[in-house]
Amino acid sequence: MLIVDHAAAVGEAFDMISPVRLDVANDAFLDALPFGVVGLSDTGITETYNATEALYAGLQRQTVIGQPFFLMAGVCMNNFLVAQRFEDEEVIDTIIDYVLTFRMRPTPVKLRLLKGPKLLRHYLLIQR
Amino acid sequence: MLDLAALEAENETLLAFLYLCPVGIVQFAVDGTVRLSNPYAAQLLIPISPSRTIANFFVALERCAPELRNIAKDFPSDRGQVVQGHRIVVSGTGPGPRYLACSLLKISADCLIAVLQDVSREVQQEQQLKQNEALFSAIVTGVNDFALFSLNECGRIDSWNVSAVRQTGYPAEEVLGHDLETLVEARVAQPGLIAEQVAAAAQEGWSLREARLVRRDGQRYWCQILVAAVEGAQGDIQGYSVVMRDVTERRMTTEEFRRLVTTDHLTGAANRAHFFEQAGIALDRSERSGQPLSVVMLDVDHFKSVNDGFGHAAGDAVLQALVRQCRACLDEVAILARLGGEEFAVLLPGTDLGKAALVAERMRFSVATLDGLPVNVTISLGCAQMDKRIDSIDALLRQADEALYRAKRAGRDQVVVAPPLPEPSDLVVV
Repeated sequence: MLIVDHAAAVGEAFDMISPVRLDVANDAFLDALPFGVVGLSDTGITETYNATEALYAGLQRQTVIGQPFFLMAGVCMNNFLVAQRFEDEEVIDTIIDYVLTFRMRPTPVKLRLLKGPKLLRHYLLIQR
Repeated sequence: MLDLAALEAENETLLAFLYLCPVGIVQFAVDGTVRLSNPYAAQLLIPISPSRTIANFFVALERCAPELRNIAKDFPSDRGQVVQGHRIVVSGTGPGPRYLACSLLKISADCLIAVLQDVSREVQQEQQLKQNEALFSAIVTGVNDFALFSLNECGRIDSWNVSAVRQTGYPAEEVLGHDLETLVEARVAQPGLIAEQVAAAAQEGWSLREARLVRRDGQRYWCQILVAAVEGAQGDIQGYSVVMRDVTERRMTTEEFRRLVTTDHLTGAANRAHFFEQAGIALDRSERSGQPLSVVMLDVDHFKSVNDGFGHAAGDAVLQALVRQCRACLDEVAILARLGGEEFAVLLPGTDLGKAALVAERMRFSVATLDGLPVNVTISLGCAQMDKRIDSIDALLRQADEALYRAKRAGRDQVVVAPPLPEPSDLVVV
């Protein structure tokens, strides 16, 4: 059995962490990551929303989970630069510069977009 | 008294309210520095912002609505509505919305709030409505200023009556057997315009255009021309009914309004909205008639250093002079438009790539040799011609833009065509 926990999360880098790792991670591991993690179903429903992202956005996990991400917490990314890519592309592992509006404050961030045929979810990693 | 948990819950409710707000809201300082923005505003602005950031509201809109900076700066008071529903044409910046509406509210000496909405669908409906309204008014309004007559299946006038004589001044014997071009003012005629209208009616059943005609005594007038195909039992075209309505009076009263909404107020060039509207029409015509269609993109070299070194007033003077010089190189059907900042485009209907390059070279030379400005400037230009591999005006502009980029890379003050002509030496200074 794969055990992932708080200690294992330390040292995982935003640009290096494997999406497979995210697929199998438990909440404690995800919450300990120093960057935001959002995991989406094929249809764009939020399935993973870690503590770092909840803190950035000022939204609680239970508010966001189960909701269509790009129509709710991720409205500012609902365009061809981000949301459209998840629809159009089969495999993505890329990092882009973007501006998010956490608590209405425009904040430059790096976004890592992850999608692959073998992954349970699509991921959006957010680093301030 | 509220406890912390209740405050937190209320805070989250407010955040969620703003996160989900279906219009973009931005609060910024008079210099454009953004203080607050909701996510929807970011969704709309980031894709069209040249730097893909929204640190500054005016910079984010520099490409699509450079006028907003001046409009906000010129607003005389500390409070009040600066603009309401100001149309921003974002076509040409990528997929996504084509039109935004922007309202600006000044709430203190150093604070403005912008509200942004995607109005692409409304604009489309409006355009449809405008066409329907024109058709409707052509059909039902007072019958005095109408001329009604018919064309045979080849598009030649085969019946002429008193209403047509009254409007045009031509007696029947001078027009029967001729085509409608006879009535079009020769000086501004776009060759083939009427023939195309007849072809469009043949294809779609009817066609409505506005054109400038000339009476037998030389007096010019604006006319709405409705051509409707008359079909036989087998669906074959037996001829056409034509209704011509003199709209000079309406045209005069709307001319000033037309000028206001189609031109860039600093330079007098066409604005972005007018450019894309005309480009759409030119593209349809070109596809229908097989006539070539080219565009030239041009951009002032080192414009930022003009603004930084000599001030914005000098920059404005340069742009105005540039438009004057370039206009003088263009014929009446060409449309010179300011797309944003120091970026211009010229639409050249009926012009192939070789001719477009010559026109571009003429504009380059004319600007490079211009005297009497606070600073001498040069321009770089990129030309492209519509062909089957290009599927839209946006794509055509991208081609021209790539050529422009190559002109910049190659040292500026020059013309580059896309795709490269085999013999660059064909380019001569005229």
